[in-house]
Amino acid sequence: MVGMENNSKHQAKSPGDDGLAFMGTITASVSHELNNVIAIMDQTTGLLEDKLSGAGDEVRIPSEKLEKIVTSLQNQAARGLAIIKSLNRFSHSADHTRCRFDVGETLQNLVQLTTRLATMKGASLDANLPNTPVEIESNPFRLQQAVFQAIKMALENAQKGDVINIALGQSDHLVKVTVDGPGIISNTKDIDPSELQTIISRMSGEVNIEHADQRLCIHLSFPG
Amino acid sequence: MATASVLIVDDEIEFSAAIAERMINRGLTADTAESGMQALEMLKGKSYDAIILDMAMPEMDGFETLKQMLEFDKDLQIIFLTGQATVQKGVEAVKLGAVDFMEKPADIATLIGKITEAQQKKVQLFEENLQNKMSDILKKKGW
Repeated sequence: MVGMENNSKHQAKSPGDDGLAFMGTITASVSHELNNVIAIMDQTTGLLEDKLSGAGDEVRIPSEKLEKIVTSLQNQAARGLAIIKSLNRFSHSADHTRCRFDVGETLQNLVQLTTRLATMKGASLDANLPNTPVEIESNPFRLQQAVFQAIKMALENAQKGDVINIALGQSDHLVKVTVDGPGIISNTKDIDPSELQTIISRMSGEVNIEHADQRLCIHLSFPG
Repeated sequence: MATASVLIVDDEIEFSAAIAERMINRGLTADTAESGMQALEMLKGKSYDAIILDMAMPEMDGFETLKQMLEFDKDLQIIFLTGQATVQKGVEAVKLGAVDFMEKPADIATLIGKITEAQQKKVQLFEENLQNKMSDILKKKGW
């Protein structure tokens, strides 16, 4: 039997590998956040249990303390539900390779799922999305993969306090997504756009990358 | 043995506040820090028997915090408590100098058991260091 690590055929990337890697990155980040939610709820209920078991026959927990515990549990339950809802929407985006969907709603969901990755770098995401639907017939999963790749590139050189702006517009039968973040400055990493270009070309879209005033601006356009 | 003192470092402040309160209820002294940087500052002013450290934190992650903490004091007893527990990460943490590695959500009794072990180890290291210093002094004096 040939060991997989020595067999170069097994190391070659299949066309779906980058999509799987994208899904893996998102689910790993989301599952970590869900674990945090459960850990908080676990310790908070543990705290309540401590109070009840230590209080004797007549349980007297100060109402302020009880209110704080209940609020914490409610907040974490809401946080967990919002994460699961976003993850569910994201998972279903891979159901159809081509369908009609609202890009704004899809990007809003993607921003919610990727906020933690920005937070880990001390940065934040700011989505400027229109209130009216921007519909497109395309592959929703690939579109998210492309925008995520652009966000990742913008985050590459992000420092504490940086903001990555995500904007959506529509003109001349094209849907345009712009991701704007910190650019290449001394002692930061170079950015490789090849992965993004590969994803965009599969969607018959275009990518245009601009560097100006130490900002990196990635313009993605997709046929609407 | 004196009351164990612990510093909990986690960016999820509700988590660290709840676990700190539970430890205080059990007779420990517990402080919290919401970042690696804050924890490093706190170490300059106070000594702890054990440090409970999260792995995934904004800006300075757990590994970098661990390295800087051990540069500050190589005898610090650092226990990783993380939601990202994998064997590979556990091995990496221990190689870097962590004394233990636990997965969230953690059982409070198990965690306090680890803190007690860390406290005993710290006392043992203190006594060994003291003994070495004494031996050095005696050697210098030719005794």
